[in-house]
Amino acid sequence: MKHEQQHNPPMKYGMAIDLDKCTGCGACMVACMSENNVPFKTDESNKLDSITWIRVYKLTNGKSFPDTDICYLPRPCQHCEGHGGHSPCVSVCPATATDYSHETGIVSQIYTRCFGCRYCMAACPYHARYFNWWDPVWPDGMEKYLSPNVSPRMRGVVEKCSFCFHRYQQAKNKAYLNGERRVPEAAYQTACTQACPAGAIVFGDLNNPEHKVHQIVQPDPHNGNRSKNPRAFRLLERLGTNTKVYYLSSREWVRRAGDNYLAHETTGHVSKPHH
Amino acid sequence: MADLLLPDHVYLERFEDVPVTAGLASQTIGLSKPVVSPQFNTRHLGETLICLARAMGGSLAASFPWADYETCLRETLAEKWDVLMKDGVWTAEQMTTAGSSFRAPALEAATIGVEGEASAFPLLLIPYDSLRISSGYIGDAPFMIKTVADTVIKGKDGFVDINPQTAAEIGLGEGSLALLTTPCGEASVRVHLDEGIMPGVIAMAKGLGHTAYDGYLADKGVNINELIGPVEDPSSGHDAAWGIRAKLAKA
Repeated sequence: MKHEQQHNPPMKYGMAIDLDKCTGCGACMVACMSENNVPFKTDESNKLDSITWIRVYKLTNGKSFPDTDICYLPRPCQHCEGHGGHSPCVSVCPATATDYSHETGIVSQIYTRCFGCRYCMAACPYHARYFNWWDPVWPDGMEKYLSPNVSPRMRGVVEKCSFCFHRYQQAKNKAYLNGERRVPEAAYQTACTQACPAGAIVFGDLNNPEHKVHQIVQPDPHNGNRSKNPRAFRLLERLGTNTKVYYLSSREWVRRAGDNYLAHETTGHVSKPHH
Repeated sequence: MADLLLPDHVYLERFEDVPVTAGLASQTIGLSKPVVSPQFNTRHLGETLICLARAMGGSLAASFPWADYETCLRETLAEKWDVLMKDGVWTAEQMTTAGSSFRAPALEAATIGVEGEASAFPLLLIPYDSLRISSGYIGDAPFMIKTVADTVIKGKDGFVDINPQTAAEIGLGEGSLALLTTPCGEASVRVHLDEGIMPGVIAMAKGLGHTAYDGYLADKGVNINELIGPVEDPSSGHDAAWGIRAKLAKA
């Protein structure tokens, strides 16, 4: 089999999460923990030390009964691109334990390099990073469920959502063996996307016009990758983190909850990067 | 108590037809297929019944002629089998309904009162189903209980949801410890302020307060079944009680 020496255009894996579809069931969280060998303790009610790569938050519109409206917001790692790959966490890591891939747009976490300084946790505006305060312990028999494709983490390192990167590696190998130049859209999907019973999460290459996520988001490269879809917004978009997780909602109060707006400000404004 | 226990495979280990009993316009049957080999010394319930019938002989054995449960399922599902194996689900194309009018005799029956005197118990306690808490006879698995918010369980404490206005009247704030009393019992709870709940009503998740199994499930929150009693619906004979009058006091 002959493969031509030719570079593929870079990919930007990202998500569109429709908050008007999310029921808050938590299946994405369970699928993620199971897929990625995330451990569990007997008491997980202290959410500061409870490791959940994707966490579903509950928002309310702040109005009293009977005008109260709620919205569930699943929060994986936002895989910030910043300006030219300067993600908040990548910029501060002294160990190069986290890196921005210009090939996939995925922010990695290399556990064996991490020495636990937690600068990245302080830098992340989304609380997407978690510290292993203990070595993981699985009850007898439960270790059978562990995925052989994901390395478990040890005490003293930080971990976070990888967009199920091991699945990308497998899909890439398979595509190569099949003589395909690109990883097909369906061949690489995250565990949370597949587990969502409401179909609220769409995952794929934001750069590829054939991918559903691109069609939903319609990112505008001339405007900091802001979505051209009027229902779409990103979390704390005006920080310039240039995230690759887009949220969708037809409710103005939900879109407004995505950033810190002053009373007179309207949603949807994105500042130019500061660099 | 049982003299004999015959442990069944779990759903991931067995073939099983799963008919949808309600809620869809046409008859729908799903097929559960084994994705892992049985992890323990168990046997498919269908297999057990076929073996028992065969051992008993006579007409009973003749009624269970299949070599194994998979054959039984394939033969009884007949033409649906191939569709189920391919798509995992079979849906009837045409469905005739029994009629086009809706009748609910229960609507004409007398209203059933909620247990308890309003003077002694000014609030109404309502149990609610949470998508993240299994309230059946099987409790939450460790990953599922991990998804439960810290406004539902915190350590060993369970919460009641209450409207901030009602909470203020009793002198309770977010996370306050309170004593919850109903005509059936009492429990120590924490309070979570929720704008969305009707004033005068408090809500508590079903499926918590397990005593069984291990530290991943047991001793978390309050078993609401211990605080509510059954009230019979005179038209159906079913348990109509889904709430009870209650009192909440600062602990």
